[in-house]
Amino acid sequence: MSDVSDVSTAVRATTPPAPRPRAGTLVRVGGWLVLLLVLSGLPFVVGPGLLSAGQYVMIGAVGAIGLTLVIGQAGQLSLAHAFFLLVGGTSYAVLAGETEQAGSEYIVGLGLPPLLALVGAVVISALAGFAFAPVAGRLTGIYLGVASLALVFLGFYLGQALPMLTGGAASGRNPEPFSLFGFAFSNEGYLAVLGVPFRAPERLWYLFLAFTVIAFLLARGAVRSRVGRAWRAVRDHEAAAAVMGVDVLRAKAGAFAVSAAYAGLSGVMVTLWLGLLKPDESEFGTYGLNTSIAFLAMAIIGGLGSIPGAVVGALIVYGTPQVLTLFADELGLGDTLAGFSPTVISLYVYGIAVIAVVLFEPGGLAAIGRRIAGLSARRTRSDPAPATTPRPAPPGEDRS
Amino acid sequence: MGRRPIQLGAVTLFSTQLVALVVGLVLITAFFVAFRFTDWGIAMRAQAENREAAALMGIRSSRVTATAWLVAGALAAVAVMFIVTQDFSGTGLSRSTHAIAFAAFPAAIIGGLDSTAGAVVGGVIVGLTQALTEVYVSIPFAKVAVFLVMLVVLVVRPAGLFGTRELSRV
Repeated sequence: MSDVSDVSTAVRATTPPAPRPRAGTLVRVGGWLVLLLVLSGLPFVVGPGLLSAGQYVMIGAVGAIGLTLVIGQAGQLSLAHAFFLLVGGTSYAVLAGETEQAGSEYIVGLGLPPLLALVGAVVISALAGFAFAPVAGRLTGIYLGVASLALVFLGFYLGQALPMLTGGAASGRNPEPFSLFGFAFSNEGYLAVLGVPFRAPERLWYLFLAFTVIAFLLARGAVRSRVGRAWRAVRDHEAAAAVMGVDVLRAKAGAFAVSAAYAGLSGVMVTLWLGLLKPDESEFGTYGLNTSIAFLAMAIIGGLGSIPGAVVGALIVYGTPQVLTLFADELGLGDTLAGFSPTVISLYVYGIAVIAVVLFEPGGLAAIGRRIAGLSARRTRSDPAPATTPRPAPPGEDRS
Repeated sequence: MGRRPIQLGAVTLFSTQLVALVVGLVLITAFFVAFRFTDWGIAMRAQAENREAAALMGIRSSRVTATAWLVAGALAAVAVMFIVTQDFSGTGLSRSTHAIAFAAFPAAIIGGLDSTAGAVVGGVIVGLTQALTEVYVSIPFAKVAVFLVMLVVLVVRPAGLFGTRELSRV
């Protein structure tokens, strides 16, 4: 009995008496709020072109968050992201769409409410990721990467072979515009806020912003909780994780399913953004390997496993071609279809970024950000004692 | 040689295909011999098996890695020489020619990444699967078939047919 009381007093002695909110936390929360406020106010300032570019970045951000979870947190190389994008987009189009489409042969559509279709699409994508679990559970490293690559080629084939679902590679199919409680996120109806007409770009901006914020918060929650700890344990040492009581197969399957769900949401966003679901005609299309690699680049540039990093990575990888296309004339790039097009330039940009990250800072932008945060924290701190102990990484972002 | 096909009994061959076959066989034999008998080949295989142990035995890891990439690049260049001829690709080089590189992945994986013999067997399996599927099923399905075969192989043998299974000591 006395031992117990000793321990409890010892614990009490080491814990600080009154946990007052640290200045750093307040600054961080304030920063996020300001960022959110700025993003919400953007439609009142910027035109639809830039808004649409921003939406594309958000598509990338949602997908990249999912990929950084499975690769960075759970340590499983997945190149199948583009396939799950296609699964999500197709599921949404089928669940929400109508059976009739002008100028097409018979097309399957269930005509469900868009919100239900969205949830259904995410669930179906997650199930597709879960179905890959028997393979994912047996393989590691590059073997798993190439095995997941098989899904991309499967998607390429199925997209063309199942025109009743996808609408076929030639014409595609028009997805039902998203609507929530009777409010359509399209050009339907007239709505103006503070004198700014709210049409499809403005409405979709808020929808996508909501998706991105939800995706971000959910991922952060997963990473900081028991689930995330299990993923990192599996990543660092499978046998050790199993000894600690982590169900390795379940953790791996769960990570794949979660990442596929994120990709599925991203795929729904792609179809809403394009207003069209169209399977690829060539291997390097919307749902091709190049897309998988673009997402991989986002995760690597941002720092594998870091969720804010993935968002910044999406800004670089998906933002560059969009902004370059918008300002092609001002920048003197000329015809966007010419050989050295904005797309090609952005390929060089993120290719160089990936090489630079791998060579100079394998932790990616997240590691650089952490270092800056550490420096400023050390400078503002008054007592010099903890200078020798580095600031511990946030629980979700520890990379050993 | 010329542009005329060569008749060997019932088999019709383009001269470029014949050259490709011969070059392939010569290169494969040369590398088999090199991997097995030269110091360089042994160093490379040692590093593939255990990088740290190889380094402790005095093998320069950076040099082995660099030469491996060098050889990989050179062999890819040889392959490209044949791909660009019209007899193989039909159109020569195009923007999506690099898609053909993805046919090399299943070949290496099916055989097992650390096995040279496996790469040859994998290549034969990939080639046969693709050619037979193109004829008997459909051309679009051929590429998928290759990857499906790879998936089946991986589920049964996670390190490929001839790859060494990694054991982890706890």
